[in-house]
Amino acid sequence: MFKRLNYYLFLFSTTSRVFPYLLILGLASLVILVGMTAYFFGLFSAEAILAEGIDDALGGGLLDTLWWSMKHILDPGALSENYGAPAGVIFFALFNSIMGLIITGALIGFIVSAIQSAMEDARRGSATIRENGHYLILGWNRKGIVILELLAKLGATNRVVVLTETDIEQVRTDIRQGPRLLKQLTLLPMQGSISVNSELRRVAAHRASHIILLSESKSGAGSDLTTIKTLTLLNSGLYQGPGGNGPKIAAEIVNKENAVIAGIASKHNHPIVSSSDFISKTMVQCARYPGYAEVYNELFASGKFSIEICTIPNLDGVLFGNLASAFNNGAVLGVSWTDQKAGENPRRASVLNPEPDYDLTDDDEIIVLKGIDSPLERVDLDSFSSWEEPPERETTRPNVKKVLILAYNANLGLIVAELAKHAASDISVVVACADAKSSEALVRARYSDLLSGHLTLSFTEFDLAEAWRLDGIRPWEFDVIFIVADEVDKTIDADSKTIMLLLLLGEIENKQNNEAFPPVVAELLNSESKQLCVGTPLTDAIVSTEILSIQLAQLVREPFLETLYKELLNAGGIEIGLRPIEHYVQLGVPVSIAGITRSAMRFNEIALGYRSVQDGVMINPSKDQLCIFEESDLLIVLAQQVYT
Amino acid sequence: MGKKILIVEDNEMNRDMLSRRLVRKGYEIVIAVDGAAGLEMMKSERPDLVLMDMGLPVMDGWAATANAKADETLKMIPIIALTAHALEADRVRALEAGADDFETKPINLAGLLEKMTVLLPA
Repeated sequence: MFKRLNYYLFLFSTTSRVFPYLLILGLASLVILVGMTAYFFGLFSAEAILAEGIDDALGGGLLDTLWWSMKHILDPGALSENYGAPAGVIFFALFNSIMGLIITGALIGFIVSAIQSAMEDARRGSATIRENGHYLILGWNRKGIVILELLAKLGATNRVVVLTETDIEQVRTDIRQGPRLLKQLTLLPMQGSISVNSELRRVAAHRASHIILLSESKSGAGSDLTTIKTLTLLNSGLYQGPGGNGPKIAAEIVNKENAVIAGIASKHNHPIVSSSDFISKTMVQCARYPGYAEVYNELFASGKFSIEICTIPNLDGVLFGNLASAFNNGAVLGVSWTDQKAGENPRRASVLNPEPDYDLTDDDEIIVLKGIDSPLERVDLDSFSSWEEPPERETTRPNVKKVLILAYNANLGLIVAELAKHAASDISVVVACADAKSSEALVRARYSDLLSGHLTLSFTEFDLAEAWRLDGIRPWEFDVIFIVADEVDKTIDADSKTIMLLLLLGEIENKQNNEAFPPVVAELLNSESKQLCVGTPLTDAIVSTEILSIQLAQLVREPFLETLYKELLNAGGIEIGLRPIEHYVQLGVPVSIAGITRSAMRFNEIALGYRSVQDGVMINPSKDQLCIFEESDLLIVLAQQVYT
Repeated sequence: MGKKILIVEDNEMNRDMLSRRLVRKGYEIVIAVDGAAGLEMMKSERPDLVLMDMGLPVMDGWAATANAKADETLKMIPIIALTAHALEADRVRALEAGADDFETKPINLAGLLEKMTVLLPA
């Protein structure tokens, strides 16, 4: 019997939140009833009625008895008011007072415990979110902070909820140590599994306006599987309203191979960013155009510019070339239209840098690079009515033939394959890393299909512990040097190794007595490490966490940018190039940006800005601005990749 | 109905722009995104002309062109090679693979249309 009662107590206390309160109510009622039996022990006798705390104002019946009994439970001080009453009455008064203390104590205990539990829920991030239209970050890794920073820069006013399996204290610490800018955001870190439906409902994923899926650092190699499962859930009817009217979603996938499955899981409705693919492509672009990283950061990460699709009236018959300098404060990058084929869903087609003689129609919209929140200032259309053949010019296209890669990481094979794709002729890649033999076997096994015929790939043993070996590799003889973030040895920070390699290269460069040293492209994991690279031969720093976060934060807001991002990095498509400015304008004399823009258009290129010794990187300068350029200045253009 | 053109191109933007412009010129367009699919579509769609990108996944444009020209049923379909590789050697390589003509990117539509007119059957 006792065991059964005990079991029911356990059962109800674990399944019901109100059970403890009902238990107290029941106990209190029982005690009151027991106390009321004092009536039969002379509660309203002539002797008792003289006591201060006993009153028969309602006739000395049930109600007076009930009142007396209740009073002792709620007010222990009432015991003393029974002085002079019979012993039986005193006994019941004492019993009720003691039980009252116990019941009140238990009640206070339950209330305090409930408050503590609610606070603990909030602290551990296991509360329930009651937001609408919030940003939701699912998963947590190094990129989380950069994404939050960019959202703050872009002026996001909605609350940001983070759901992750990572220890919530770690997330809080990351946020606390993050930039001050984060204080502009209202952040709600929550702990839980991102691939469980109830957890997604708990953070109101169905009511979120934007969802960014990050690879869970805690899940390790299985992080892509978690992301894919979550994508499947988020694309189900539970989260997507009729007509796909659900939250905007962008997801990070670590391994390029998993991006295809992720695309299927998202029903190709949402942008998927493959981090390994993106980093390797960006590094190769930096090798092709030293200084690319700075341009890329200014363009996409400064928070100053946005790329938007604009509808302009009366475009029918206008040549794309005519739009080159149509806006004083915006650069027209391309055209976009809705492609509607019979029996298929409408699809948005976006094309960057179309030919200048492309004649627009009324259903064309234009893709414009403009300042954030600055309305476009239209200027009169130029009057060139037909496409003229561009004059012949001598240009040096990037053609990287001999590459040195220092250190090893999982992206190395993709970098090599990407180099091969861009190579116009034979290319030789030397990888210098620790444990070269097994690294080579791994790369050849995993990327055999990506390594093309005109590529020579060789591995040589090199470890920081034997720094003298670097001289023997003769780094100065290469066209470009890559340093990848080496995360193989977890005992040494990858950025520290990169910086040490840069210092070694700096020493070798100094020994070269001012002879040309190849550009050095390094992958860093933390943007603060860039400061430590000053004075080294570093040409471009790819802060991988930073550029990926930027892309994710922008894609979740403007999914159409996915096509543009892919295009800008893919071999054989449109790219951001840096060209000697003397190919476009005369040096040493004032020229307008509008003039340079028209000049670039004659080569089927779109001028995005310039990089000068005087001003640094300038993106989207006003067309009416006058500049005087020097020999080493470069024009930043959007252009078709051409391999010569 | 205009002449049927098969565009074999993996780059979405190039595909979209070229097909949009050719549709406006009255051509019927069919699309393949890699060399192997291009070969299959040459058999199933019987296009009047093929615009073949050279840097393609699965099977590159050179191999697809060579295979098409080695196939008795396909060799009469004219192929214009499209490539971002602008060296004379690239032109020679495409022609050696069996391409009937060659156009470098960025594509000059007027020039391409002229080449297409010459190669398309009357």
